[in-house]
Amino acid sequence: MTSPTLDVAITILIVDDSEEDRVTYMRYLQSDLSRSYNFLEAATLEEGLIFWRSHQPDIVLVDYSLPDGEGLELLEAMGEGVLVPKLEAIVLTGHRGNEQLILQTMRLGAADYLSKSEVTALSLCNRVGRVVDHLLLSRKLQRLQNQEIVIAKIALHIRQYFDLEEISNAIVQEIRAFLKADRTVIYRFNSDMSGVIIAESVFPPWETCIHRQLSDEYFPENMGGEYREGRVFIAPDIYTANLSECHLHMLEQFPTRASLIVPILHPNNLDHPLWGLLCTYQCFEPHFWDELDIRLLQQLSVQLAIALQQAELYRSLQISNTDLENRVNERTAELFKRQQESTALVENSPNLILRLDRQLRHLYINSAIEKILGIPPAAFIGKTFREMGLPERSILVAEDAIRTLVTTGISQQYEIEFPLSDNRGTAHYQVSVIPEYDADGEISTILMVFADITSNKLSEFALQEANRRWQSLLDNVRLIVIGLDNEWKVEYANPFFLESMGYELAEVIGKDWLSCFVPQSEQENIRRDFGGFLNNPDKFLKYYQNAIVTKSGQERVVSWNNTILRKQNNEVIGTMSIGEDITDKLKVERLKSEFISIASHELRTPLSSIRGALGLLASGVLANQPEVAQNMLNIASSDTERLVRLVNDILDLERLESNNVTLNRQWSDTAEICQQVIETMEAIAAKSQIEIISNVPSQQIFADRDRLVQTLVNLLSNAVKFSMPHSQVHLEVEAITDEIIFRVRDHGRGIPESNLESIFERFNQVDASDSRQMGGTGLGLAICRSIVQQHGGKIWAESVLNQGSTVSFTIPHRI
Amino acid sequence: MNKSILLIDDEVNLAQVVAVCLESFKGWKVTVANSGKEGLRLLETIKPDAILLDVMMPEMDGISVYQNLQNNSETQNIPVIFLTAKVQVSDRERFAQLGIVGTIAKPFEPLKIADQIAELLDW
Repeated sequence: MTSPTLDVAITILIVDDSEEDRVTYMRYLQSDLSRSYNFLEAATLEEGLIFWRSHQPDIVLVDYSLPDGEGLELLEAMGEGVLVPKLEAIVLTGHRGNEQLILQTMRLGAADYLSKSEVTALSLCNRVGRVVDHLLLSRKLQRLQNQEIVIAKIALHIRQYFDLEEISNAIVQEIRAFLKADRTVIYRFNSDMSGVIIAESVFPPWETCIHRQLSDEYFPENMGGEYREGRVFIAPDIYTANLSECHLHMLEQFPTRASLIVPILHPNNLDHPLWGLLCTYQCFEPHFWDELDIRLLQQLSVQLAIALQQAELYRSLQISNTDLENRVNERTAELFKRQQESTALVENSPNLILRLDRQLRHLYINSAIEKILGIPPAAFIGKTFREMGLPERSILVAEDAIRTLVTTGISQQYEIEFPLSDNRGTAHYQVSVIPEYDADGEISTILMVFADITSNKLSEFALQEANRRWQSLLDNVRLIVIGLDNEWKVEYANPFFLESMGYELAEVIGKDWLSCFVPQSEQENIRRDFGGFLNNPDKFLKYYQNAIVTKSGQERVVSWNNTILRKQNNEVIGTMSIGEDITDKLKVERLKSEFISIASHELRTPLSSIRGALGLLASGVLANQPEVAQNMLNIASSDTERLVRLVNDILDLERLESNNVTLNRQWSDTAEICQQVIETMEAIAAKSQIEIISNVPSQQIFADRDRLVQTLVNLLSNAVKFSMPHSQVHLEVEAITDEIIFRVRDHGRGIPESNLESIFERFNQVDASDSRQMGGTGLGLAICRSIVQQHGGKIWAESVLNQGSTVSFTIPHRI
Repeated sequence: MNKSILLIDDEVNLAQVVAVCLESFKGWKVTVANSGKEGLRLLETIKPDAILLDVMMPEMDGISVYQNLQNNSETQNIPVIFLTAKVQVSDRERFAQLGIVGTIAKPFEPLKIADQIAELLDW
């Protein structure tokens, strides 16, 4: 569109009392087709002044001589208040060449002077045209100047304020005022090319449409279309602007009649350069937007873009500032929280925690100290252990640890016990001494943490005690204890095993149990019974009995009680067996059973004879055989005697062996004892034609005299029994350092060497029938041995076959 | 004709009583030996109709004597009865396996022993 300036209608006030002239002038001026004029007519000076004041005409044509005064008066009124007036006024006069008048007119600031006689269409149009040109030019200059002022104000505003909203508001305000528009808005596009009005200046009574969301389907389609290229939309009248129905409809809502829209382009965003629109509207009347309006808007849109950029910078700066500030605040809060937490942790720790300076003064100590010593933590601050009067030993240990720490720089650890306040016993602590360094890497403070290990200690003590008890039990129990691993290797053997079997520990540990300690004959059985493996729980035998071999090669029978050893995960790791050596017990049982068997035989035999003999006699079958009957009576009688002796001997031996007999020890003379024995034996010996020879020494002996006589009689009677007639039996007594030795020696057939020991066993005569024929019970020597042993002595036999035997026994001197 | 019996027992008194019992009630002729050896020696000269044998004897016990008898064709068919105090069940089973005619327990019933022997021997 071309510049609208020339098309603007110029209002000309014609003041002339001649109506004819006025019409002539108007006709002349209207003949100039390049301009369009509006006319105001006044016939008098007064009327002219009124129009001037009320209508502010652009140009005044005034007649010099008016009926109510000079036209110059109008000029004076127009130039009022201006030092050098420059009036858009042309004075018309009927006087030709009046120099003075011309001078006066010029002085009052009139633009031109024209003699009525010279007025023609051409001259008038030229003269008025020149004034109009001048007027328009000066107006344009004025307007440009004002525009510059507006822009300068906005620019200043932008430099003063960073808030986009504020700047936007200022811009719309200035534009609307400057353009005298009804409404000026800033419309901002969203990313989807819909938009919102973010700033508005509106002239009452038009309603505000600030913040109204507006969408034009035209925009999203072409991303703003020509606006993107910076094109301006100018519509003096929307109804002639060839707009679409919906666009019109939208504009009518405001309402709008004329609009001028310039784009606001984002200088840094090449992809989406169109930030928004700067729009100015006339709401009711069409409006001709001139070039200056457009330029103003364009310039302000540039300013707005600058402001935009600036605001964004400012906002991002503000955001980053806020962000930074938030982060600092967060960190500070977190630090504070951490500090609170760690303080709470340290304060509420069951451990005693303290910090010392290099002079060992307390810088900090937590409240645990109050529970331990009953002294509040504050009392410690600035004091040393020594000043706090802690136990000397704990001070020395602590100082020692700190000294080492300072010298070596290595954290120290030690354990200490500490008496609790109020006699609550003793607490045990594990103390860690930890260096704390300053910025120079020097140890500046020392941290000490006392961890309460009392319960650990107590359970450790209990465990040690339990272990000690077990160990003591294992060491002292009079039972064999053997631990084997899964490979039958000996892992443990208790002292009793070693002692009773004659081994050293080193000869046992790690050895294969079966091959080293079990007789060959039993190894296979054991493997079979246990299923080959010791760790086979299915075939594991809790109770077992087998022989083991002592170091000297003897076999001892052991009755075992076996237990499988398992780890916590139930894995079998070996066995522990407790065994009782039952060899002697078995022997005793065997002997007992043999004794009963033999004794019953020995008792049955005479009983059979007695019963048979008496039965025969009672039956009367022997009535006619008095000799046989007498023989039967003799047999019954003699076997009854034998039975009585046997029963007496069994009871005697039983009493002796069960220690139910207490010896009646007293001092006696051996000579007297021997005399008594010989007297007892004399008759029997004489009957067998045996001579008893005794040295009969006189020795004081502390013994049970009757038992000693019984023993010697027994031995002598045996000697007599087994001696040939006319031979001698010797009874000898010899006193040596510790004891008195008794010997009974015969010259009989002797005792086989294999029987020298067994003859002292019960019913173990060399020849039982001999013994019975001699009236013996088979228990005599067993009784002798028992009596001698009760006196603390021993008995033994020596013999040379067919030359004789010697049975000796000792009786110790009084102990 | 009167039966003859060899009685081998180391208990002299008992042997005499048994001999009197058998002779008095049945009129059998009883020869007594006081040891296994003596019995075997006597068997070289006499042929008894049966042998009464004590088991528990010194030197040579009744079992050995019996085995000796079995090893000798002259004596192996002579019926043998054990006269013993060993009367436990295990002993009787062991004796029965040897092939003896029977066992008579000590102490015996003096009035019945002859009948017991006759019964064992089907006399």
